Amino acid sequence: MGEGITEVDRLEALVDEGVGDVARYLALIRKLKLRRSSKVAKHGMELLRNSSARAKLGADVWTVYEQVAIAALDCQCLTAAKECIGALLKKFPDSTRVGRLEGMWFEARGSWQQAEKVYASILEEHPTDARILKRKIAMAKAQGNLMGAVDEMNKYLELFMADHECWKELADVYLALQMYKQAAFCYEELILVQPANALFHLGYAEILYTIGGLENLKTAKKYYASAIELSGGKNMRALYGVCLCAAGINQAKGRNVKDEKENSTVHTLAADVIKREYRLKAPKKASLAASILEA
Amino acid sequence: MKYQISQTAYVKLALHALKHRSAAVNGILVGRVSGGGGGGGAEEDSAATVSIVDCVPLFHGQLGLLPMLELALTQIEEYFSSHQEGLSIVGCYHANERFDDYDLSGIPRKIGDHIARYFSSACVLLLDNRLLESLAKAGKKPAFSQLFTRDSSRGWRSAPGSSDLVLAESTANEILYDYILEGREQSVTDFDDHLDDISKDWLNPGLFD
Repeated sequence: MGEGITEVDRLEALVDEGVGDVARYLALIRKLKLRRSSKVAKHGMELLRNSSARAKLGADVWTVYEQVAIAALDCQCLTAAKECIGALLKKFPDSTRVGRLEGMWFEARGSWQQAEKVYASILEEHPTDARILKRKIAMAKAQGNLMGAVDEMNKYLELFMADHECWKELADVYLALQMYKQAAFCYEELILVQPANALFHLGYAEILYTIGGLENLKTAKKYYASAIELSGGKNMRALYGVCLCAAGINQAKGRNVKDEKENSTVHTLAADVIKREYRLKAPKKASLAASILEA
Repeated sequence: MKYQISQTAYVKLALHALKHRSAAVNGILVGRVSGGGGGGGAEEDSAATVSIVDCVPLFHGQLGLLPMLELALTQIEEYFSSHQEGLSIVGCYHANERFDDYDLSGIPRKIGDHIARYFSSACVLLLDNRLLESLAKAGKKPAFSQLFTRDSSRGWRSAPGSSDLVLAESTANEILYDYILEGREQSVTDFDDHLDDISKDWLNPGLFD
């Protein structure tokens, strides 16, 4: 992912100067699923309004219209978005995928009821259209109705239970609501779906630490440790996490001698890695990091 | 108790919020108390001022988790108490995810509560987008934050008038406006960025060059 971002930044700089390949830039943004709406809207609209540039896109032009429409909506450029959606409607008059964009146009204006109508009519014919169901979740969230968003997500997950993006989104909303146990459950599902994903182990550990208590700290430490392993020993949050858990376990109520003995090794190793990394990459902060770890 | 915010702190926290427009952000306020009887303990001591001298941008996106928050607070307190005399954590700032959300939610309240255990005049600044729109005309008052302080029942309330927030330097809004035109917000580093790449410094040393 790191090299991808560097490449995108490089292309973006060229495109900003007017010498870059806009089509390639837009394609890379799509591939990496980045949200850089003002650049995409600006350069995308310029490209689409230029008929020879548009022709060079070939069949990709429709994907670009969709991408630029969404970016324009994100920047509140409703006229530009309408232009793109109009072109798509002409080409695909009965498409539910374009219907979604029409609904999103209403959403961007805050016309929630009209958006609801658009989605309701699509759902009548296609009651399990995942894209439209996701819009209902997004609308609830956009209106600040977090519990409504939770309901919609739970309904969606009954239909699409392996959709890890939704489990992650649900976890994020639970966390915003400070419903930590429910967020933890979501991460358990995420780890089932993708057991080798270090970020899911990390997220689960962070939630358990937040809930607190000796047993949760011990479990958190295990998941921080597996996150370290799965990330090739590189994830700084996991390295720090193991140390924080060790310190927490040493101070926790209800601990016994056995707990303390088991506690010692992993975090010493982690602390050494952290100190070494700081000496190499952030020498000005090295003594600060070291003194925190000693404490 | 009066509250004053330096240009450095004010511009930095605004840029942090602007860098992550579609996410909630938060950070720590660092400063000192001057005037009055001392130590930030006496609510009736209206001669005293809490000066917010600097801030440390913390996180963007996911703000509700404890471990990295604890780590950050420890590092910030350690750094400022040993490198900058008399400076300590005096509060926090928070910007909600949605542009039309003006509520102080549970997470900034909890962080504020934690800080208040060590500094009873702790404040929470909540960024308000309505006020950001009027940035160009703001002049002396801070453009876009509501100040919350703790009342006697340990709740957080916004109290215009007696607990107003004042800009220490009158040029702050102009400088911020110029920086926005330049896109300087892209240069802000928060604690999340540091954890992703420790060579990035959460003290933001070159930000105002």
